[in-house]
Amino acid sequence: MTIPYDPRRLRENTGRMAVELLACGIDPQKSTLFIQSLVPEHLELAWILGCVCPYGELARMTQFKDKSKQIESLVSDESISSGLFTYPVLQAADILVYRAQYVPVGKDQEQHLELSRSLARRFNARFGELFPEPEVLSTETPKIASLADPNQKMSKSLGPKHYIGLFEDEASIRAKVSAAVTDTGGRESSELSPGVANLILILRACGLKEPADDMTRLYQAGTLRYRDLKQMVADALVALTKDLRQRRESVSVDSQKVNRMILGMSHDARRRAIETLSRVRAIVGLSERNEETDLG
Amino acid sequence: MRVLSGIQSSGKLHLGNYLGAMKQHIELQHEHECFFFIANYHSLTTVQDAKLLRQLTVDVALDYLALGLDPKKACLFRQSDVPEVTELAWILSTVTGMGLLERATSYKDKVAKGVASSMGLFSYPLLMAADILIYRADCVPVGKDQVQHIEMTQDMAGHFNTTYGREVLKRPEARLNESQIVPGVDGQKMSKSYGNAINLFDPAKETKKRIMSIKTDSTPVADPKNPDTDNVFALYKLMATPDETSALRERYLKGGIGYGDAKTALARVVDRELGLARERRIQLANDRGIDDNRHRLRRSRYERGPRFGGYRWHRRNGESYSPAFNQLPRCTSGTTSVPCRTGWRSRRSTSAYMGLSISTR
Repeated sequence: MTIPYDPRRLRENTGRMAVELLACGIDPQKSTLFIQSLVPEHLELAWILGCVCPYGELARMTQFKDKSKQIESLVSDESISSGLFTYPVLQAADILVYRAQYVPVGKDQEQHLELSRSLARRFNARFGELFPEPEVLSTETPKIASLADPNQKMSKSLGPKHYIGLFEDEASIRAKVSAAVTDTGGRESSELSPGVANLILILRACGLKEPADDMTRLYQAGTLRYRDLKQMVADALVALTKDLRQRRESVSVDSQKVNRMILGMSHDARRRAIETLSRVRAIVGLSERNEETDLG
Repeated sequence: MRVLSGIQSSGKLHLGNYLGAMKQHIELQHEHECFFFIANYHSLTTVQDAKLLRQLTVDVALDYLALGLDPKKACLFRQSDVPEVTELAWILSTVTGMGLLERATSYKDKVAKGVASSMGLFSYPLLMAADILIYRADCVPVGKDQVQHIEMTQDMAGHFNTTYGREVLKRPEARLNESQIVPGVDGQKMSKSYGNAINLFDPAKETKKRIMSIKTDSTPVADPKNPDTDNVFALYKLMATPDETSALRERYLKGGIGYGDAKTALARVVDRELGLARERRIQLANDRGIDDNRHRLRRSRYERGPRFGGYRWHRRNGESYSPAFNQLPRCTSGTTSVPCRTGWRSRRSTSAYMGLSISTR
């Protein structure tokens, strides 16, 4: 909502996202998958954190600078929303309201997480120890690059030939992989070029560790045929997405059930958020003190 | 017509606050539907001490109730008991340009005065707009310095309605307080920061002493005096009846009245105006927390957490969400429910239009 959007699409996208995440394997028995707006406590905490957040710290956020430049270049007269500016504080609230200790984020989000840590520290110092400082949880596959430009992160906003959709059909995946950039020349033969390294990384991330090692060896020996590598990557991705597509179909058969599940989990999340907020309200003085002790 | 006013405590109130704003606001309750809220989310931008914030919150409630706010006619509630308002503030922030907030003069003033600039201070106008819009207020009584914020609120409501193509939010009108020139004991405008204030709830004896210390000129008792330049008279006419005012005016013009007599007359009308309020305030302060037990019951329901019920979930949850005020005077309990309901209704309609709720309408 911080950048111009279409409300109807937001609702659709939210529903689709839920289905797709479930299809990707989020297990409602193990995890809580919920919709942010069904837990409005995030925003109450964001206001409270905003009161301990110096203006200067927000003004330093590079993502705000980047995004506002991006919007200005797209729609010149569109003003930058203040929501875009205060976004990192809401993000901090998203994390702190569940008193999360780890947050799996990419490199581009590290500055925001640092802000969350600093807000937690400031809050704790001013009102009393309540929030753990959240830490980055690095994932095994940190960065998949674009197929068409392996020096950039794979991203939808670069254009269709740069990314593989999770639920893309087979023909389109094969076409994209076979068009992927491999070697642009001008380097030692033993060193992997970014394009090849990326394809091998994808292979490994798909669970094909041994073939990935084989490919690396072949490359270093100078006998790798890119067609073979691409074939293997395409096969792996097709297998992966076929699975996902099937799961998505079976999940989305009963959309009522998905809605009920998401609402139920949102309710669980909200219960946790309410617990945190009632402690927060008490220690900052928005409510009576005894709520603090009542909650233990 | 629905009138809304947010009250932020800034410590001890004086005659200037009362005659310039509070009295006028409280009187609106006789003719209009009034929502008065204690702006504790706003206070949090500057008061970051839980004990003090709680104390200030209770003080505001006691002050207003003592001065005649009638909980049977007006809703008096704590801002943080309707947390939906912070959600609306976020929603407004997505349709409000950075530039609009940067132009807010009160923010610039505060920063210029050396208040540490926080995000809360910066986004203050967003929360203020949400306060007004969430209750669909028609009218907001304000002083001159707040008119810009009401204009910003109108802009935000307009932006929202254009963006989503529907008249969801109602544009409020500002109602300017009748400007009253209330001089302090030294003749300057009465203000806490000038140290020239006559406090509302000081004991009667102290108030009298303060009144006797009002600065006057040195015209001898027998000589005629000019009522239009005298501070004692200026205060007197703000609280006396028209008959009393013209009687004293004549005595001034004729001469033969000493300033001491005039001050005694002033002390009498101040006493008449505030005596009852002073007593009431003491009574109310003693009356607090009597029905703690009932509130504890309500709170335990709230702690069990929201019940799940699909689309009506927010509302039902909201009902158990708002903890009662057990520290505030007894008569205020219950008045929060009306603003709560209004807040939930606004939340439902805004989130539906924005694509935030899950079911399609």
